[in-house]
Amino acid sequence: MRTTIRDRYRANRWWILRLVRLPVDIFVFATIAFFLIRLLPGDPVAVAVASRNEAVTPETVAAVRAQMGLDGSIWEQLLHFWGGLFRGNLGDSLQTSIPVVTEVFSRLPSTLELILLGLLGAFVACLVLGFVYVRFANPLLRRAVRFYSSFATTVPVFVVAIFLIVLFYVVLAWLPAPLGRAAGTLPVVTGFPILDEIITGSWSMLGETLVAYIMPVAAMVITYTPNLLTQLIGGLDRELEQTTTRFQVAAGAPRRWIFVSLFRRSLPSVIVVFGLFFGSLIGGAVTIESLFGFGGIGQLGVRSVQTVDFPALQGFLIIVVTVCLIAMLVVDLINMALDPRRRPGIEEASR
Amino acid sequence: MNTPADLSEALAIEGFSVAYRSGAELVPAVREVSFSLRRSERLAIVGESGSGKTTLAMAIAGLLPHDSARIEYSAARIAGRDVDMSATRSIVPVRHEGISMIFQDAMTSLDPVASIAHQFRTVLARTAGMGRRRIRQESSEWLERVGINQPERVLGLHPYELSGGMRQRVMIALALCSSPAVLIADEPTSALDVIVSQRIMNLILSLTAELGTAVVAITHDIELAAKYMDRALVLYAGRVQDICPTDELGSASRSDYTRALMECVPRLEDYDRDYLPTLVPTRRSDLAS
Repeated sequence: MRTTIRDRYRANRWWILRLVRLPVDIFVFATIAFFLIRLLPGDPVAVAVASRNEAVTPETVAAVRAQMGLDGSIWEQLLHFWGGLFRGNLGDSLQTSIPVVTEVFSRLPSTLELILLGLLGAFVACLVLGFVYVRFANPLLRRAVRFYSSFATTVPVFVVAIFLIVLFYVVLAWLPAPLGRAAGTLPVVTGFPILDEIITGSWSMLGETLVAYIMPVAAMVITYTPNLLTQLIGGLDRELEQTTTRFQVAAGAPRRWIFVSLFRRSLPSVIVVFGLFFGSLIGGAVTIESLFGFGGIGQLGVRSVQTVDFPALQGFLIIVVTVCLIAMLVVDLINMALDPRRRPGIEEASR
Repeated sequence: MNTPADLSEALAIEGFSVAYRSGAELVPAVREVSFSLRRSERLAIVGESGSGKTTLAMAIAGLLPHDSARIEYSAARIAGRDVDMSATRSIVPVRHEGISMIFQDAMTSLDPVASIAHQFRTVLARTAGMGRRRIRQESSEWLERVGINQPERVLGLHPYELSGGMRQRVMIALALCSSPAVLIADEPTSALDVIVSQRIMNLILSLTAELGTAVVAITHDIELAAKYMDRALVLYAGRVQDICPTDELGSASRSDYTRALMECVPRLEDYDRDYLPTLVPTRRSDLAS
């Protein structure tokens, strides 16, 4: 049997199609963001003119309007916006006159780094506790894991963070004040603080950054692990009851393989929840970032709303949506790899 | 040193009882069952729903959940060796080495997310020193033995891509490729039509005969038992009513319940019968004694 290019395409169609859909989705959501921004109350032109400290005449207003690309009909503006979108140009911030794309990409990596550390930490903790849950028959241990998972969505992350600050900075004084990552500036290579500090060999700054990360990452791990754990325990309980597990045992599969299969069948819903939290934290990490004096993408969103900085707000929305879509893409691809029945075009036989 | 293992014995249990925990109470499901099987011997465990036949099979295979059942016995041996069959304290059940089990529905038994090749690998990987290529070759040979054409192609497929009959064959191959001493088949053909079920039964019997594997078939179908099995163990309310060669099931020396069960088999001349012989009240009182 020869495999043709056509066969290869057919075998890999599930992820190729999913990948091709991404730019289409981004385009659609960017266009929605364009209209949403224009529905907001407040006239950015009036704000901009007022900040100029000049006499307000119809001529200056018209000039500023044209400069901001807000002249012409909404359809002309849309075409202009699309043109910019394809060239990677989302306009300049009204507040700082810096291109929005530059503003966004100088802030996004540090937020991504923080939430990836927090969520991956929670994911690992969830796997470890899930393993404890099915590996050890001790009823007390199992009840403890179950009890911890019941904290899902009950305590907000900033409450845990404040508790940690009070305990480890104020009372015990084991950790430094929550005043940002590391003192001093370093040349930006990737924008990810830890990565840049490693690349440029700034070891003392790296140490400071890692210490500064302890409390916020711990707060995220403590808060988000129960959410992932609830999904995992539910999946494990369900899959343990399945004849599949019994048959694997009865056919003589080694225990290692039985555990691998059990987790593989239980993980998809955990990964979906991981993706949802990742998406909501892109903008939502601002609460924890401000508690610890970190800069991040969320601050740009807050500032642009307060100052009616519509290009910055628009850029912020588009970036948040894009990161969410990429997160969902990764979630889908991982889940389709874990469970082939999730791939498009597969009709499941009667169960 | 204990007495040397009896090589001709596949499975033996004596005074085997299983009770389910319900709160602080114990609800007996199987009471004082004893039987032994020689290599290649075929035993049917026959009974109605709730008679304890599946509980007995699961307990023997090691599949009962640790916290829900209490198992007691005076002796338990697999392939002539003493085995600890009291329920293990483990969340994931632990197999009693040498016993394989197959189930009614192959779709829910096979791993839905793994390829057939992967499922063979997990079972065959136990044999130390078997390389990937050897395992692949062995898997492919097993698929041929259960009558699957193009085994190389099927190895790359997932269970949802196979027909019901093929899934059943794959399940049988997976259960037998470790050459177990005993194969327990829980309602092996209930989900299949008559023709397919005949083929599957014949396949199970010819393969186990080659391997010298003893077969325990759990079934409510007394005709199937009479047709394919050497002996039958009739279970009612967890107690053995009869254990005898299948061709003596209808004879007058059998217990009332067994004879009633035989009468339940529909016959053309009884088409207008409006009661079940096993439910006649007088016979129930006999059983209580």
